[in-house]
Amino acid sequence: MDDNSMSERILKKIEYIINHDSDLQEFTIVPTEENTSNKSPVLYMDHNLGLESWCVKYVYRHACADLFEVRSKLAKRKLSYPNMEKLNYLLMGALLIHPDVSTFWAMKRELVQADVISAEQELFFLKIVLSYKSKSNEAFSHRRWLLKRILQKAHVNQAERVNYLLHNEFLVTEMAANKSPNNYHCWNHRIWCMENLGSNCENIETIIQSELQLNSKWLTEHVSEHTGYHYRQYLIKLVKHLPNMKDFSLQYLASLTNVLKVKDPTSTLFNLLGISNKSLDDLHMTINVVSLLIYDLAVLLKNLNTFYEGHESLWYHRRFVIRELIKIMHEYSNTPFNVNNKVNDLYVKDEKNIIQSCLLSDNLSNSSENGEKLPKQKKVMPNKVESDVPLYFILIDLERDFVRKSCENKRNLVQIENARRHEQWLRLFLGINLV
Amino acid sequence: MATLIKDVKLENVPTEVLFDKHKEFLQSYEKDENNYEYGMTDYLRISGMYWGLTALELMSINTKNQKVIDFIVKCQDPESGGISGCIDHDPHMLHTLSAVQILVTMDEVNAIDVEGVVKYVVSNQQEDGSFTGDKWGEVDTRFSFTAVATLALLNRLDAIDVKKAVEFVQSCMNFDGGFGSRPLSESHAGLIYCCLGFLSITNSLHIVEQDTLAWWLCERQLSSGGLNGRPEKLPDVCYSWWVLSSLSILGRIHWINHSAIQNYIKACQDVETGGFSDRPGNVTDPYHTLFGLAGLGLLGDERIIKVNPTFCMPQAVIDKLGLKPQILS
Repeated sequence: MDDNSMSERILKKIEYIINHDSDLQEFTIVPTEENTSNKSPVLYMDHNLGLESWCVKYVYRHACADLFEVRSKLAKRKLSYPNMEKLNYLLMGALLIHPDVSTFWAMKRELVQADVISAEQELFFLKIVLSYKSKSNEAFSHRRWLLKRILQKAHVNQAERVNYLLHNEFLVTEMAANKSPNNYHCWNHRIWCMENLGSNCENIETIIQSELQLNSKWLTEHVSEHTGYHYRQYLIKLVKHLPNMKDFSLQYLASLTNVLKVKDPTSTLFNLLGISNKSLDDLHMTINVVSLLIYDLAVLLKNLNTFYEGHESLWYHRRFVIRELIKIMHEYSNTPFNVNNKVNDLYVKDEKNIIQSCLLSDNLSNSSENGEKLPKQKKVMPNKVESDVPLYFILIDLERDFVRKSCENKRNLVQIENARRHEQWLRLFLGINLV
Repeated sequence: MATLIKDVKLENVPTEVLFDKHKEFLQSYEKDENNYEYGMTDYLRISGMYWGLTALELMSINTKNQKVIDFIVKCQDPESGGISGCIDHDPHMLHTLSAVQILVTMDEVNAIDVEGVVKYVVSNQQEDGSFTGDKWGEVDTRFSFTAVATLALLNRLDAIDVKKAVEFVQSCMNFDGGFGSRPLSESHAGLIYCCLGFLSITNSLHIVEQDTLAWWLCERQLSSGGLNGRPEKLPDVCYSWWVLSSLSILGRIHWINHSAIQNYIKACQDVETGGFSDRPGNVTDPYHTLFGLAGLGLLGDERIIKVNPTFCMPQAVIDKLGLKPQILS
């Protein structure tokens, strides 16, 4: 059998399996030596599809040759329907092997536009592609194009359908996130879906609450993946602006009784930020996000840190939480939030990273290594937040305590460095002095 | 309890930069690439050429070559004006920039339809100021950079709505000072370079939180000296470029430990085959070879031709065009 007819048979078989097994889970290329067994290189077992690696270059080359022959005709819509139908199996094979080729995805889109393949079929095919190449941005990008198309075609009262689409995207992104740690494009895609599909769902509040809970669980299992924290930060910012979540804060306040004096949400807020005559909706939104942020600091991050001490990602999330809280305190009390973010250049020593230099300079208080005097930090008058807001002082106590405890285990030098870096960051970029 | 740090250990680090090996590696890579039809990396061949040719230019080799020019001409789509990664493929912003970079370096930009390229870039700007990679609508800050870099090299920045383009990039800024691929996306050193490069070309660096961002970029340096692109990721030679060029644009390259990163880059050379890889011991390629050499160039290695941090091209080429991309002090 020549290479071309062999490739044809392989491509057709792959197409048949994808079109007929709606429970198909995964695709992969199985590393093998040259073909020795004379069996088909298409492996299919328990709803999983494999292709032996020895045949990949023949199959890919064959698919490319046939596809490029008609590329410009397809783009100019000069192919008949039956001839367009004949392209999908070639595109499937080529894209399973190589999902980064944007020209082939463009051809797929042209087939969708010509109603040769349906958007739903494509979403299923993409799930299989992502099971093999879970970081492919071209694949995620094609999903977004399909979803936009479905949304445009959907009728006004199709909230249920949009809800289904969103949950399907949650499943696919969860699979892809599990396959590749810190999967940037995958988490970006999830955010895009929340923005574009979630906003069309009736129960967005419930979705956000469930996303927050799933996310806490995700973080305990993927503690060093910063992408997961970034997604949480995205969710937190959503909570800040949603008026319809009246009892949201209760679940978080319930676990904060040892940090805060907790009464009902509104009086707790007044205790923390001062009395205000803002609207009830505003007050609810503020206490929702404040209780969630304090929960992250005093419960979530504290627990994660107990088990997984020393992870940089935990410290980055701390920065976000503290900065958000400080920002909210300023907004609440109508105080301008001006971040003074200039670092004194004199700290940099030859052949050192600025961060190490700063930690060293700090050790030697106000003189540098060779004894030269460094300029003193300018003393600035505390503003309204820094002098009056109770939460500000609670926050400083929490941070001081956390940094001190993190420095106690003298064997974990990484954690000590992280803690001291945190202290510097708070001082340099938020003007918070823990000492 | 000790924490497991994601980093690499450096062993048997070459003391020198193996320039001759790298030239040999790049020159033979170019030949191999053209030997088979429908190869796996075809679709990005023009960007591959840009990496290889620019790396050679940085090692003082004149790369002007009629075959390359003819190839690029064949990759321009006469209708849209955009340039594809390879003959038969669809045009894309990324390859359009790579093609223009190569031709400008060779002083042969008039070989292509320049107005066609301008028309293509303009056609990809969206109402909110953002840019798509091609006609299918995927928005990314990478494409904002490729748009303004392409137009600046052609002296046609006036063809787009720069003000709106800046507003879009600004909307991608995060609390840590960094930028992601879209609004709401996580900070990422590669995309920070794209956004700073964009702001440098459009003379809009005043919107940046200079030291907050520079601090975050310096935190990318690990004990091995190598740089990663996001927290708790492994170091990779390409981030030597993304992070160091970003720090150069911010006027803060002296904030990083120079000898440590130089040592890491040297450790990523393959002493037998030549070229640089992402991490020591891995397979080398033109992409990491360009960014390894360009990184060493930014750190002041005088054997490397001076490289411009915004365009990743020889400074002399940028000077000749009279371009002065903004740099903060």
